[in-house]
Amino acid sequence: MIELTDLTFAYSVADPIFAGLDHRFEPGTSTALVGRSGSGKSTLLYLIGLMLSPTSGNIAIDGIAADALADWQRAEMRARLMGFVFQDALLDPARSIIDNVLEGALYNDVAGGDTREEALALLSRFGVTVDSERRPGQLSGGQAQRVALCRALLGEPAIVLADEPTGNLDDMSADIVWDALLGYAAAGATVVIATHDRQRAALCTSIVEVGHADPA
Amino acid sequence: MPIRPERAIREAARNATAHRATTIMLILVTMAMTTATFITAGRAAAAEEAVLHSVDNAGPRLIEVTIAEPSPGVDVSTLDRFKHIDGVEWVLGLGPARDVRSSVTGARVNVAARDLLSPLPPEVTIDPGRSPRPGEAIIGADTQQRLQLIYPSGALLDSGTSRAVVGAFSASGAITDLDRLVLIQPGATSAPSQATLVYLLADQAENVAGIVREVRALAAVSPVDSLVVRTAPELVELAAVLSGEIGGLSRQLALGAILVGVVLVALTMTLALSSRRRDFGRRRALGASRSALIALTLLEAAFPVAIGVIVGTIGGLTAVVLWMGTAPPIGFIVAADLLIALTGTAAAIPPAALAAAQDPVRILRVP
Repeated sequence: MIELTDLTFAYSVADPIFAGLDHRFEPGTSTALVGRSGSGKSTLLYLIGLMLSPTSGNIAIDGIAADALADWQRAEMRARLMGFVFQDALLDPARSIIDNVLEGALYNDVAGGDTREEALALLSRFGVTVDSERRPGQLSGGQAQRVALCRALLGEPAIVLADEPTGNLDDMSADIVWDALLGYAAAGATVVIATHDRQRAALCTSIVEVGHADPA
Repeated sequence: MPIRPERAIREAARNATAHRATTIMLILVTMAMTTATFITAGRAAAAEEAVLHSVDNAGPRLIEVTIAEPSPGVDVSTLDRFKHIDGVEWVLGLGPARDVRSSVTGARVNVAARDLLSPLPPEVTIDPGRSPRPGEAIIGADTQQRLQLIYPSGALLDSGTSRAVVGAFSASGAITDLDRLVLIQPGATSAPSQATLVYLLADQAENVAGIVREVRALAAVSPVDSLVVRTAPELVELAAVLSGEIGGLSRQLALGAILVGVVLVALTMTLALSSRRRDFGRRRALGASRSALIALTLLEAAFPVAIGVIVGTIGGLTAVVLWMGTAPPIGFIVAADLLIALTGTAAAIPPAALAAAQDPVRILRVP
């Protein structure tokens, strides 16, 4: 479980992006972070992902005050507990598709052999039918994002954070990604999605309006 | 770092293979750095080795002791004591010089002869013939020519005594002067001869001075100035100076080549990593700590650096051997390779640390 308490973040003290934010992200739920451009959706996502430190307030993950941890401890927590999906798939063009997926488990000390099988199974499950030893340069945007989704779900992390995961995709590919994320949440994980797509956001268990408005 | 070492190595190897341009550049830079080190410093080290080898040759290690009149010389027991001085490889004691001539009718050529008062050193080989028994003689290669003997046989007249010639010898190294002598094994009944010419060979050039001191003390010749010792200290000193200068030059050349290489490796890595900023941001998001990123980057650099060192060493050594006819000592090769590999890899630390220190959120944000 992720718990935000009186969370404030500001790049400049005079103009906080959001202030006094309280919210709980429970296991088995999906939460959409919505708001206008620049409202701080991605910032909140990266705060939850322990890649930023709050100006004030607390972030607790499974009861641990995560924001107080050292950088390497936060990295370890990300590696162990979290999967990330970015707006542009952010695959390494120099590495093969399977290597890109396997990178999701590289930093959390998961055994190599099982992980590869799991990675191949995920690629198959999400319909990535091209040779997994090829580089991702020839993939369409939808396929690339599905590869990125496989990378995020590899090792079955307890938390998946997605930053505008369907912003660059056609409807069909977007549906596949959303279905996968919501299905993963339904299976018991905590899924947080930053999106400007309010229609799809409505499919989530809860919505957090980020910005000057209070959280829902 | 939660990443397992074997997975880190595999990951770094795959990354090195994937980013070929950087890898090839690093191989070329390291190869050039290594080859340059061997062609400059390696060549100097080979020359230094040759100088040191020449110092270690018998010439500078040979001590020639002459006992002039009025002293009768030193006896055989003193020669035995000389043998037990620390650092003495062998002692050759010879009696006073006298003239002998061939017994062949009409031959009037006088040659110098000395009594042999100690075993022959390894530098003296008898061929053809055998070692002389008491009363017998062997002749040096030069003497054999002077006496116009096709085969070393017959007899020599030694103050009215006939000495059977049983062989010819040749001396090598620093005692080739012996080739001009006839060496006579004293007869069992004759009075024990005193040695007036003694050669000693030190095991190392730097032991010569100490051995000379001990020889003077043990010989106890009176008057003192009748004992004359000749060594080649100037040669030893010159060789030491030369080797020191060559060594200094080789260190400077090696340092220069390695410094240039280190700068080039650092520049190559900086350029390569600046084009992979999003790579680093993604890795941070996926759970790589800063230290893990630095370690992976260093490992990634270590592969091409190692290949460059190996190829550069082969090329550099081949060039030095073709040029000098000899290779630098193995210690230099190992030390130079280790130094280049370590400094080459370490040169990737600053760019790796800079890349790992960047804010991943700023990198990952899509405008």
